[in-house]
Amino acid sequence: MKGSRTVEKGKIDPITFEILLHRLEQIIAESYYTISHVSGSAVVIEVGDHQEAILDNKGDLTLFGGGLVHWTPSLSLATKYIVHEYEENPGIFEDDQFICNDPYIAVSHAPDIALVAPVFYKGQRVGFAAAASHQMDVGGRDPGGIMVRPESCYEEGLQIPALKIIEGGVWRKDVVNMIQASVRTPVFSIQEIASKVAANNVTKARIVELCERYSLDTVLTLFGQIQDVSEEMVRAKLRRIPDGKWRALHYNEGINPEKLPHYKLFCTLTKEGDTLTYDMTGTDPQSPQCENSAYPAAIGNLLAAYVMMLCHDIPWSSGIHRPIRFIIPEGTIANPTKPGACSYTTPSGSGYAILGLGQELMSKMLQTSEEDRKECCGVTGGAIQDSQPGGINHDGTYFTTILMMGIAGGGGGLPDRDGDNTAGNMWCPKTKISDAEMHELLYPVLTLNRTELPDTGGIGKYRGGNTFVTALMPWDAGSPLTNVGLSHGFDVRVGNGTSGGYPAPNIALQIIRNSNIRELFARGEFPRDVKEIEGEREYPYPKSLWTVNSDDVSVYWCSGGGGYGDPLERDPKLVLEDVREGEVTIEYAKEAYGVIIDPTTVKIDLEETERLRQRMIEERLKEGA
Amino acid sequence: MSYVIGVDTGGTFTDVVVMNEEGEITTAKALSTPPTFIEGIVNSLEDAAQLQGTTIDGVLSQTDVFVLGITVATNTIINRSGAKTGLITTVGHEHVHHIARGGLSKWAGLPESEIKEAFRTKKMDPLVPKALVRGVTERIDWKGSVVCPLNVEEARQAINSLVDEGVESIAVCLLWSFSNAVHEKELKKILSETYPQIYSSFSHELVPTLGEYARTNTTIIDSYVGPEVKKFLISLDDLLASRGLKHPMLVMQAHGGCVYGREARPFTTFSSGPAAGVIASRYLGELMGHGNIITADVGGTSFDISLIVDGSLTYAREPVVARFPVSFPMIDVVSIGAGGGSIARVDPLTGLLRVGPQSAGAYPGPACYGFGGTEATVTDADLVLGYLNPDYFLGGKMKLYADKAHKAIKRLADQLGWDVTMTAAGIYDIVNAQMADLIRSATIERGYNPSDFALFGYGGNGPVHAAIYGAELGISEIIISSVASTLSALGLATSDILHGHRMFQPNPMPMDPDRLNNNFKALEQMANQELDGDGIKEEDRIFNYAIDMRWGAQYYTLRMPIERKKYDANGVRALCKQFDELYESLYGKGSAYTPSGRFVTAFMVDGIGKIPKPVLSKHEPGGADSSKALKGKREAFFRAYNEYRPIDIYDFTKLEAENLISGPAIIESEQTTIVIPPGQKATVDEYLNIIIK
Repeated sequence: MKGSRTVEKGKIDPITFEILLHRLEQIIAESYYTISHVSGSAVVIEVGDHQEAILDNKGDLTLFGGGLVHWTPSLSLATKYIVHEYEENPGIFEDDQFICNDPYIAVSHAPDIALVAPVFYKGQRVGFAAAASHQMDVGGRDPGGIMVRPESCYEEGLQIPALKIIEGGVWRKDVVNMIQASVRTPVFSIQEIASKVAANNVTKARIVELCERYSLDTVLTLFGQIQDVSEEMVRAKLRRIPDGKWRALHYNEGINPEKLPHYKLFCTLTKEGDTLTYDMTGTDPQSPQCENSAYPAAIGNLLAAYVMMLCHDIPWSSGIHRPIRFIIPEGTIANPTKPGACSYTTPSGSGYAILGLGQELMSKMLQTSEEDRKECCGVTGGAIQDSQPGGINHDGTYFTTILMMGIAGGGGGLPDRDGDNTAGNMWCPKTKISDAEMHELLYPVLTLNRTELPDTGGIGKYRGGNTFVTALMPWDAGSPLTNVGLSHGFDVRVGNGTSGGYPAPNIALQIIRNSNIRELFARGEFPRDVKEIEGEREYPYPKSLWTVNSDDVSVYWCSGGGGYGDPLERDPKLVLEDVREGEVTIEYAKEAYGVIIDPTTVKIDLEETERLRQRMIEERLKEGA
Repeated sequence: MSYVIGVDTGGTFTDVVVMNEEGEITTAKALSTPPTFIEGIVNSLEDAAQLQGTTIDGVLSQTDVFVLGITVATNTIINRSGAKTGLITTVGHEHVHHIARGGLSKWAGLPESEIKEAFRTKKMDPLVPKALVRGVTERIDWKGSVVCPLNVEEARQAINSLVDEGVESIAVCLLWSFSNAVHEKELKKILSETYPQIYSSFSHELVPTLGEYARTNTTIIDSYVGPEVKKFLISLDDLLASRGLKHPMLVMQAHGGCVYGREARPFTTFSSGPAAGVIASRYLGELMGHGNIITADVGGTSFDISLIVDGSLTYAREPVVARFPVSFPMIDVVSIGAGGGSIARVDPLTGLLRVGPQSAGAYPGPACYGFGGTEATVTDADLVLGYLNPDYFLGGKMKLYADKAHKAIKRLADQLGWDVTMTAAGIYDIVNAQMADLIRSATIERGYNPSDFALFGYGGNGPVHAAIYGAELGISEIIISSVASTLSALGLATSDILHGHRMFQPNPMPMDPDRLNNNFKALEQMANQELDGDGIKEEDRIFNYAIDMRWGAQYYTLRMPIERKKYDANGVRALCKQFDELYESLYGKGSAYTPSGRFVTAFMVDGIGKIPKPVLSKHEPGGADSSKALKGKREAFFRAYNEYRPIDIYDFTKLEAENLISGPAIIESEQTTIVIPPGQKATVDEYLNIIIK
């Protein structure tokens, strides 16, 4: 008996294809591992704020990894820019690497720095390796990379369309010196760039090995075929979803509330056959400040949920982008024209609102498809309350970082269960926050608490996960600490529910100035609740720059998840379980779910519950009329 | 006669290896008997004793060393059958186990394919409910200074209230306790005075390491599984003593060293079986002169590998137990869902053939088992391709149904538009590629070249695939041990006692040499006292030193084994150089960024007590001619021929040292099947291991 099978001409046979796809996934995983082990930034290592990719010769994505999903179109755009602009001058040669951080060309904002490296095999270019991570300081008006004061991109520090920083495998001293002269953390910044150089080196070496083993032609074919396969797969999924139009509206609070309190971000998603159109017509004009999301950031943020919800079982390549069209009017906050400033886009500007839009729209669409419904959910960690401190560290050197504990948002409610508490965000599958001990070792802060709070998830048949409150104070700092407030969703609801689920409550920020905390410590007391701390309570506008001194305690209330389904349909037994476990209070059980629980026996009064729920439905109908 | 015994229990079978003083090995298998397992252990020992021509009491009374590998801890967590556990922690940080570093427990330990479905991944259910957590007033800072002293009265109340709730165990993990344990020690004193009957765990004793989440998990897990594991170890030890065992029983730990069962910290017994397989590979490697080894264990559902580099075990950087990140040293065993039971299917969207990670498990298992499974698995493909003998599986104890395998694969073939053979060959190729990729990620990605390694293939399904993926990676030698199917039990019989101690203390480098010497002196003293207690002679003690180092602008530390000696200023400077070289060897030239300075963060001493063990016996050479072991021919398919051809089949038990077999060939024993593809050669060494090149 002879074996037989048919292989289409010019294509790799399905078995070799599966093997090679697996190998590319391993290469990306190795690159992911490399960047985090060489980096020195908590944001990269403990939070996973980075992304790696392999690209073809045109700059389309052959495969990207499980890091920050909303950056993926950017790595392609950066590479395409280099191919388009630099092929002749200065040329793209073996062992070169380019650095880019211009948000109008690629990446989200200046601190997101991408490194792109051509891959050569025996003198012929095979494609590109790319790696990006969120670095901290890039110079500019405010320390730390994410700023609140700039009114044009010219105040936002480094803006590099693309510069050859590694030439023939050697660091270009002129470029390194220029970067070091422009930032507040010259040593640290180069270490962070080095981590991406190392990641690209690993990817390059592995692709060359692949060419050795399987031939250059096979690899070149593979790079195209993966994209075709992804496209086929996602189009097949789209075809099984009913055609339709879905709309979502989110707001983002402005940096200067006097100028314009809230920016409106509106998007219509149209699904027709095997195509999708994201149309942001109706979105507000661009901001005179820095909450804008330039086009690369906007499309990346719109697509994050699409990638994780619809494409999680499809190779992540440019193929999944092919069925999609974007209409984003120029001059809006989601497609500003230069010199619109962009440094605040994520996690606190319009970028975060666009991520939420993307997730809400994807949930609405998937809700209509029998086979895909299980993927939809309330918005996960839609709001954020975080902090970007800077100042003199324990060791006397200048530091700046993002603490990033605020990304532990509540998970959105799902069609079959509640969202997890303090479970993550909308843009990174491998979500995690730092240990408090790690923060205290690296930065001059003391974490007074991290406490999950009842009633902070959006209500629903399946509720959103609750969030937590955390209070911090400077500890062994060599100077007062500056702070850029990173906030979204303190004045508007953004952690939206789906399918009748409710949004999560807003986030909040409080500073207790000149507190008595050190006196409490001296008396052997430690506050169980921040309410026990005395001092002048201040509520700074969360999107601003402020300074804290050694006795000031900052309190951050973070973001819950959106609910799924009508809360009045929630099984009263689940509400009781929540009450017993401290996830929902007895008062809220009544107010939000219409479930009456006796505080002494902790049992449900079924009759009263039935009556109350009926009354609540009638009230809703009245309101509707 | 005196014996060394290794018993590996917890899987489907309890395996026992008995080695006598001549180094002769007897192996036996008996069905495991959960939940107590003790009966299965006794049964397997009885079988082994019978093979030696004596009784269980006869063997035990002459046994010098008895080592056990268990999965009681793992089972307790998976079945959620552990003790009702309370947690005492620093006020304000009561939810550390629940917050789980903001979602880390949603995805830690999951395969990439599942992680990508990010909105559906779910946090692990906590082992301690919020209602059983008590925050006590106390605080220590990053320098180890007391910010706020422990409120003793409040601590007493917290303990009382947990006891009132009916907890059986109490875990204590305070912030920065690894830097200053004063408050945890006070709590220990109160607990032991007031409730000595309550099982308790203290993080500064178990794992003095940075990072409160993994440290809390570790402490909770110890308390959660502790009573069950302790009870098991003590009752087994008593039973063995009553049957004549003179020395207390030893138990294998996740880091690959043993301790006496009664002294074992329960959390250390996770993964003790897989660890033992790695230990056995190291033992065989030492005999055969291999320092660099890839261990490759293919079971029914997973493919597990680990590395031995220059004779040293490798440890997991971010160890995970039942998807909880933990902070104790575990031998780094990485796995993928690729085994004999892995299911092949055609992707409905693309029409591409895929294998795993879903598995048919042991029941219903592969279609060819005839237990009612209909999905095509790797074992079905192996059978269709002629590699497995349907009449000699487990020595003929279990029949395989070729027609059922054929039918299952035909269904896939029809969907693909291929024939059955090509489909089976495709499944075989894909699973081999997955195995090769896992090895690649564990070697090349860590800077090791597979061609510098020998590969030990074991587990029932391993040797069918080892030669193919081994060749793909350019591995120098593939070694299939004559005891491949009971290798973990052999590992238990050949292990040593190990007491690990560590101290967290950040210092900029070059640090004060006196301080460094004093740290190691203190750690060595602790290990020494324990080895005194174990009755290990001075000359049988080995102390290994290591430090954790990192760059100033950096986050991760790198563990670096260092020489055991008294250091002076030059010695400390030499450590910096050693670090630079190690770093560049892992991350490439130019990756060491010297302007940011170097830091040492932790000091470690492993105190090893050598246990005397016999050496495996050698066999007389029988020449290159292997024809005596030839038992017939069978049609099998190889890619190199693209057709079925009659292939020589050899009987493993009749092979003699020095025998040579040229591929294509198949070697069969009761417990395993070895495939030697065309172009490769196998030789038999003096320990009767098969070596494929």
